[in-house]
Amino acid sequence: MKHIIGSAVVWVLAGAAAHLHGQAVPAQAFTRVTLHRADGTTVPQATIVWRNGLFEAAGPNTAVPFDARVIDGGDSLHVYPGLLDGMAEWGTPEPPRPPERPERTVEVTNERAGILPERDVAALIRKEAPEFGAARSVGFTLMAIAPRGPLLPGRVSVFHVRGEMTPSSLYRPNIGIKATLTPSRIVYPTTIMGVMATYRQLFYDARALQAHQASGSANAPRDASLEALFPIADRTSAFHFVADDRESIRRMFSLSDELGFNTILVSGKEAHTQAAELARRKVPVLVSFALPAKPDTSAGRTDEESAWKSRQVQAWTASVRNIRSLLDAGVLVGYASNGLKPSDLKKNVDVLLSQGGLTEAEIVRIMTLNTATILGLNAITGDVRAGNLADMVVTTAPMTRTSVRTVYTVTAGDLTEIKATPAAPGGRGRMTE
Amino acid sequence: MKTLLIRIAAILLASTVSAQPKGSVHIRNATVITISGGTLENTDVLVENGRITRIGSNLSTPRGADVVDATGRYLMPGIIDAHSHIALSGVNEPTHPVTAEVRMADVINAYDVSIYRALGGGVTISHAMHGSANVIGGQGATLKHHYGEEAETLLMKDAPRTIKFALGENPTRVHGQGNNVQPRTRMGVEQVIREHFDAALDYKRRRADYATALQTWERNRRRGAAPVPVARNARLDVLVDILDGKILVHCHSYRSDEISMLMRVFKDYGIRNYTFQHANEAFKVAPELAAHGAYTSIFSDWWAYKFEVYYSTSYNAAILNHYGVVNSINSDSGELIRHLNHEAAKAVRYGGVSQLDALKMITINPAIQLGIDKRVGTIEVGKDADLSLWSAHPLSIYAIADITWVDGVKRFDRMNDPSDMRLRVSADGKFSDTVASVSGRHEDSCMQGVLDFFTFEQMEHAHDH
Repeated sequence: MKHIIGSAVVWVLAGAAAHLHGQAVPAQAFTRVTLHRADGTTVPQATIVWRNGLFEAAGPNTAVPFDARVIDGGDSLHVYPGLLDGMAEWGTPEPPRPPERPERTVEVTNERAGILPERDVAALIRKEAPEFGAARSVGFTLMAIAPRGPLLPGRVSVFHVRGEMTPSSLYRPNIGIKATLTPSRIVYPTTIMGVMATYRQLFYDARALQAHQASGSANAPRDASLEALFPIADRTSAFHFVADDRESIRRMFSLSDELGFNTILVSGKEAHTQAAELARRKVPVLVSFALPAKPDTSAGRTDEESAWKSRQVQAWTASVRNIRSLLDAGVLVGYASNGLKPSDLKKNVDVLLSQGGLTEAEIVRIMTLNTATILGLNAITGDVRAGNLADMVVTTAPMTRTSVRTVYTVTAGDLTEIKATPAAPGGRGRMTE
Repeated sequence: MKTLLIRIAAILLASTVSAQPKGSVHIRNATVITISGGTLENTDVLVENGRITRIGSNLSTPRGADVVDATGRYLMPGIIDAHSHIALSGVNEPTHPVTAEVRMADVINAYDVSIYRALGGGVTISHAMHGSANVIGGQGATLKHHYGEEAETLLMKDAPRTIKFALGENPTRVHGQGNNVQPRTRMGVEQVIREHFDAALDYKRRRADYATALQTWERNRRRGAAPVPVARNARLDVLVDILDGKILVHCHSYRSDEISMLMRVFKDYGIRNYTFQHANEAFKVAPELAAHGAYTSIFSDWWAYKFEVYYSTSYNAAILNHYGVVNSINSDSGELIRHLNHEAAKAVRYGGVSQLDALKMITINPAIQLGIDKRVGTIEVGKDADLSLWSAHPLSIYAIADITWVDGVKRFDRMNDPSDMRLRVSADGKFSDTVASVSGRHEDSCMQGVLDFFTFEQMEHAHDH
């Protein structure tokens, strides 16, 4: 292993030097690895070649270019497509805390109301947020991030995950707008009914402004918030709509029908209750893997409480099987952390495998190709195939095994070795870079 | 032949008007309080596909219909509550004196067990209203109590639109006192209404002018400067619809002076067909209310919870009825809604209102106030089968609702009343949080969600209605 690491460092440096001198960047390759494709198939004894940040070839009988720097997997390493997070909030600033009493003013600013669809998340990200490194250690290579906050907190942009964020981390800006039904609690709207009315008014205003500007009038005003909504009103872009409970999802449907916009459901913890409708509408879901704690199954103090506890177990089972229900209904399901810490992902995946009715192949597909498809990036990422971004994660065993460890992540061709800290007695150690 | 045609028409209509569930039932040998056509002894009522298709003796049961033997029991129209806040996940958007754009239909909570409790009191329809924090609050939702269905199914989509107005202490406390936002006084309340109606008229004119100018510009092949668009305004759209008579106003009010004020304002703007809610001092201006064609929807005997509600009397209903005002008795409460029959009975006790008129106050009168009297409120062929079957005369203190049907679907049956009617159990909640204690006249009130807007001094004197 020491040898492998040493060679990796050497060829990364060599590659950088070649780039500086304007020469062709040398290829890189993994050999003798087990390749897990997004469709669930596995290719033993595979070779994976990449150059200039893109895969050149991947398969069982792939030739290794003469200039390639090679890491020999020794038949023990497993390679997966890099994981995608369809909606993360890491590194974004905390939204302003609402005061104890909403402000008593009838003059409402967009910022206080949470109407900020034009907000560019790239300008807001705290580049050294520890979750970026933690996410990379888990295997994330691409991440859609949007600001936090009520109502319309900002645009969604896609970033490479390379530990610390840098300007070059931005991969695809402004792929959509994050939308919520959360009231501002500072000024109007302070309630869900106010939020619903605000969406209506914003669309009325956006369409009027669009008509004014389209008329060619020199006096047509500019309004960054409303202009940001033009592509949503035109259905050339979609709201990435964060909603969990059944009522909120139905409100999203209602607004979508009334105002005429496309939507991607984000988080969707109770999406299973609307699975058939989501499928009928072809609304994809970037689902949260956050799960409720397993309920207490002891007998209640009364018959009523015991019966209630029994129903709670059923509700918990339905929650844990949320994704299964969506897949069975034919809904396209991707992944969104939406606040779930990378360090909590593994234990929740274990529950989804053991009690959520999912297989490893389904989880991998959800977290790779499906998410890429929902984000409109499947032509360039989501699987290990020639022409795609060279995004992958390399593990010591199949990803969902208990004893698995991430060895490398490769983000757009950049390889990072994930080092394991020594395990505490009785413990399993933890990852660092 | 005529009856057959009516039945066919009723069934066809029922299948096209809405997606609300429909049931069929043959109720045999009841004492039928029709409200509109007398009280009929030993009478059958036939319900097919959600509509009443026949009323008579010894009717034959159509295939597929349930049969209920109602011998010795009383059948009346489902009770209608013209003022309610149950089945809502929000009541007040109290950040502006005028929030006409918000809709209670957006925040229906179809899982609220209060709906089932209301069914247990024979109530089949409630008018889910915005609270009274604002001078012009949000638009109401008329709900059929199809407990167990989705929110969209509860909503009577073809019922006329309604809106909540509020006069007096609530809007002046929430907005004016200590916060320097108009209105601070009853004078200010009037001006808020007039200013917003004037703004709505101006908006309507500007929208029409823009539409005309746009047409002209298009016709002239877009030569010259394009007209500046006048965007739709969600708030003013609603106010225009009020002025155009498309929305029924239900106005929270107590004092006779403010009731008179609003009647003057509405006369100035040509608004008709409106209802004063609470209206504790309506008895003082009963002849004027009758002359204006204004309706009232009151408590039977609830007062003294704040300064403007001290001058009250339990004879209010009788006096209003005497002067010919269409009056209803409402709950404004998740508890009181369970026994509106007894609230109506108080009008018989205090002022000698006839039993029929008292029952009208919880059936056809609220239906008139909600604009749904063609569909519900009486037992007549062709009407929706919203019915309640009682163990005794419904105005008796011993009367218990046995069965309640909504559109012919049995939604409550005392003989089959499960101990747990919660529709939802959260995967991560606590049992103790689901055990509600209904504490009388404090639940589901007009001022939910507004305590944050009070100053500390006001909170010491806060109340709910």
